[in-house]
Amino acid sequence: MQVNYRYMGTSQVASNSQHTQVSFSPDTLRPPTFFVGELKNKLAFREAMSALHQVVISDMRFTPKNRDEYQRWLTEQEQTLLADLVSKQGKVKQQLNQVRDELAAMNKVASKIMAPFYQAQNQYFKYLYKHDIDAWYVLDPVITVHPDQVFFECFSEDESSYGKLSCSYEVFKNISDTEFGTTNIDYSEGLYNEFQKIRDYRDTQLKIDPDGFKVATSGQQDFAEKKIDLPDSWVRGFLQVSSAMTLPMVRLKMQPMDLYNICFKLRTKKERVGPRAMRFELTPGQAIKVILEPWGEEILCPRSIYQGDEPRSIRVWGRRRLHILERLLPIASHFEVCLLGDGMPSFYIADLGGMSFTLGLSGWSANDWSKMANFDLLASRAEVDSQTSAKVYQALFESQQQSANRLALQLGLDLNTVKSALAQYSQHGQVLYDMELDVYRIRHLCHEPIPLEQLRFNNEREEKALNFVNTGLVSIQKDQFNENGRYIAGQVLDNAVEHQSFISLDLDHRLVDGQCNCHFWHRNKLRQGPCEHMLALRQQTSNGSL
Amino acid sequence: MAEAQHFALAALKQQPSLLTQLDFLCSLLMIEQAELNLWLAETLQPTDFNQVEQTEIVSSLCTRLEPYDALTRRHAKWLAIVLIRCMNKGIQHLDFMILKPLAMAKHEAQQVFACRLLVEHPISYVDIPPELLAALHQSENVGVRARALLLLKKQNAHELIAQLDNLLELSFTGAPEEREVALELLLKLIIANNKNAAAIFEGILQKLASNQLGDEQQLELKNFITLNLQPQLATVTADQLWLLLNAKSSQAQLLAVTALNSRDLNSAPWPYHLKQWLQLAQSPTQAIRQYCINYLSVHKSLLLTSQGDFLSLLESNWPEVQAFIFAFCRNEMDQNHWSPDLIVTVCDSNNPSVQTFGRELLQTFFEQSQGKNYLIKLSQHPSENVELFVTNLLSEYAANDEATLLKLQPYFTSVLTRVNRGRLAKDRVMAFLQQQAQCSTAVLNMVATLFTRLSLTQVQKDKAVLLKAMLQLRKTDPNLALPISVLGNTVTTSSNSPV
Repeated sequence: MQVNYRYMGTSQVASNSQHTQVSFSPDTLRPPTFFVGELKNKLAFREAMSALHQVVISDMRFTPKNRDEYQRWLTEQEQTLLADLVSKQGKVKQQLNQVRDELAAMNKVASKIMAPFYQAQNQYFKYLYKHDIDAWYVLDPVITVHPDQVFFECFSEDESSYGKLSCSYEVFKNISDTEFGTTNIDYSEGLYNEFQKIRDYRDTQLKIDPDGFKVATSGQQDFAEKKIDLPDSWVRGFLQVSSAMTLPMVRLKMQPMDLYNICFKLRTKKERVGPRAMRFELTPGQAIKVILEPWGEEILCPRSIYQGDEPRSIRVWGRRRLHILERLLPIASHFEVCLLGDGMPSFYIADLGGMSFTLGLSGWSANDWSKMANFDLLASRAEVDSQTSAKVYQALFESQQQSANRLALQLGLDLNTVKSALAQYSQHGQVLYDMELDVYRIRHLCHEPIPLEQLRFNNEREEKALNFVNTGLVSIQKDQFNENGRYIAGQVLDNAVEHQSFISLDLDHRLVDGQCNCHFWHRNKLRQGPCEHMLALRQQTSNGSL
Repeated sequence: MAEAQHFALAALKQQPSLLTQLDFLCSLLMIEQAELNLWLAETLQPTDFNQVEQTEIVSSLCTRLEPYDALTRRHAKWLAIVLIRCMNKGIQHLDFMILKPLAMAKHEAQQVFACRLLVEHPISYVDIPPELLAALHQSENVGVRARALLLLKKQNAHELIAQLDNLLELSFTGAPEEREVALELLLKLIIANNKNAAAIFEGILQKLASNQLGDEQQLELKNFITLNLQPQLATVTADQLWLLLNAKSSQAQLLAVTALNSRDLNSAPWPYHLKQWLQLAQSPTQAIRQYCINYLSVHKSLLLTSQGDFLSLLESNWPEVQAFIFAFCRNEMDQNHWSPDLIVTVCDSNNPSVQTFGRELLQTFFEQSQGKNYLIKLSQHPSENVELFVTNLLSEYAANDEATLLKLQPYFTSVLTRVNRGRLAKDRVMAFLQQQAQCSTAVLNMVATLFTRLSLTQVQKDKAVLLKAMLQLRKTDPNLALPISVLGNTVTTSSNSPV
């Protein structure tokens, strides 16, 4: 999906001993959105922006190693190995040893001379990997200015973490120059280093710079235009996490030290085998328990009591992303943890007094096919006609933010209808559900419309699988849990042909084995992921959580 | 076919006198055949024909070419070149009305031919019919358009200057042939008048600085300036130079370097503010950075009187700039320059080497009277290293000082909430807080609140310390709200059941 930006200048943080000015450069291709105000609680803002930065750069994907050194060594060794073979002949051996000694001495000198070069080369390799412009396929962070707050949103490179920092107007003073709306801001690694210089004893101004909109024409040298080709999977991941916010959740209130304890355990242990989930054991009226698999380590949260009515056990994966919250631990008064179900997105909202930070985590940190991930999060929830949807949207647009109840009253519509309509817009990236305040907000993720139909499914097989499930063509014959995981076998009727399939999931709910009698499986086995029949089996047995 | 041609050429070579037959010569010239054309080009000489004969040949060719659809651009070009070399007098006396239909022809080849002859023709620019000029300038063939441009050479400088904007535009955006001709014409203007030179220089400068040109165009313009506008480059104004220095075009920056070096550094030739020099010190062009370093080395007062604005260069990504500023700070600045605010600014950096330097400054220029100031300010640094450093200042500048202790509450929380890091700082802060809890009621409450928050920790070492500490606090104030209560002693009998 092509996205274009045009920024006048770059975002900057300028500091001297008396003042700090944080100036974000907005996208001038979008309708004017700006804000100027002075921060009151500067340190909390700094820490929260740092956590947001951690989301932006978070990438838990596999990092390839620089194999150049190994290849060099191997090339050297090839000669040695060959020489060894030849040296089986007695006469040659002596000569070989002599030459080898000389070579070793020369190599030693060469290594010493070349060491700084190889070190610099290695650093450059890492720099290129990190800073390769082609790798920065991410949407620049989004800022929305609303009548009651300013909030920043971002989504990580590895498509697994969502961050939102909301600042209510009470954390600002001397607010001037506001224009409501949503825009992208020019963001860079250098900004993060400058944020670290924010101090309580310096006046700090936050500016979403209105100046860019005062210049009428582009093509001037001060404008920087960027064209980015966003991977569909990235956009899909963002929308899935956003869409998940509108679903019913189990909500827990936890203390900062509870998160501290979880992070501490994760820092002191490394799992080598699965399962790698974090299991929340919830018993009404009792302290929340968090179990870290596979060690079975129990973290009891004695001051965090589960207020729900039913006992629950919920497993979430990709727990190491919680380290993103570490900078918030000193400044948060508490965390609200929102869980949807096994393997579903989860949300951690830090209360920072006047500000809040929401960390949204997708079901797993790696969104590969083995997780058979949440493609139904973009499924249509309920049928709402387009006219009613438009009416709901328009009503929300007028006030920028509103609760579903108020909208339903205002429009004389059923509450579920209003919620379904808003959920649809949320799936399109045009509306955001604010989990903290229970309101819906107008927020256009992209300037260009998002082609949801194109993005909804990772591939054709997912779409087919969902159709099978929705039309009742899937019958489960066996669904067994065992010490290794889960075994599901069943039958899918596809074009009047019955396909017998089975899938085996490990304890981390990853697909480890599967079989089907369809052409796709016979041709590819599992090399290209599961076929639509296996996906349908999985979806049928998920019951809203995987 | 090739054999026949070869035979015919061989026969012709044996009878070169045939070339004196004008009709025959014209027919030969119209044949596009490589060997024949080569032989003709080598054989024909300007002295072979008198002016009348040349005129007749040229006229005849023009007449024949007009309806000739098979003429290719390549052959047209060749033909024109041969005629210009060998029949120039003929062209000079050619009736313009014979050339006109060729120039207006729809076929590009005819236009190519006519255009080249027109450049040599003595007709003045103003006498060329406008519709003809329009047809040539709007031709789809780049060569024709370039030749049409060359017609402008017929104008004198006064007339040509009116075309300056068009010429400049063509020198930036035209096809290579057009750009070449446009630059030739600009050179003519430069030679004619210095004022023209200044205007051309300014126009090219603006375009180079705009970063809208490809690499090839940039290089052409840079070479043009270097060869033909040296005086203007040598007298470039500060504003013009600034434009070049900040251009994204690498060629523009190279020009800027030439201009920079053209004047004596010691005489402070460039009236830029320190902010501008600092910006130049971050230039991606090494020569500019080096000039900046040299300039600031000579004009040290710019830095010394700047209230530390230059300290951002300590974090420069360019090693030579960073090294220069470090050396400057060490060698040129003394205690009169290093105010506490400046030292804190250095310590505020996120860069480890700069932080280390900051600590060095702190140790060298530390004033007891500023201890508390340093403590409060440095305690807000997010880095683990600085937090540890600050622990050294606690006992001397925060002990028994309620206001300072309360101000440091965020610092204490930050240190004690680091996950699995900063053990030494944690131990020191814990010990310090336990000592200072008795300082006042407000401090006691602050410490109690903090310990209550931290007491949930599952780090056994910290938990043990916290439990002990809270017990101690409870002794100080039994009514203090703490999540700890002392149960009575349990006495067990020999059967191990409590009594």
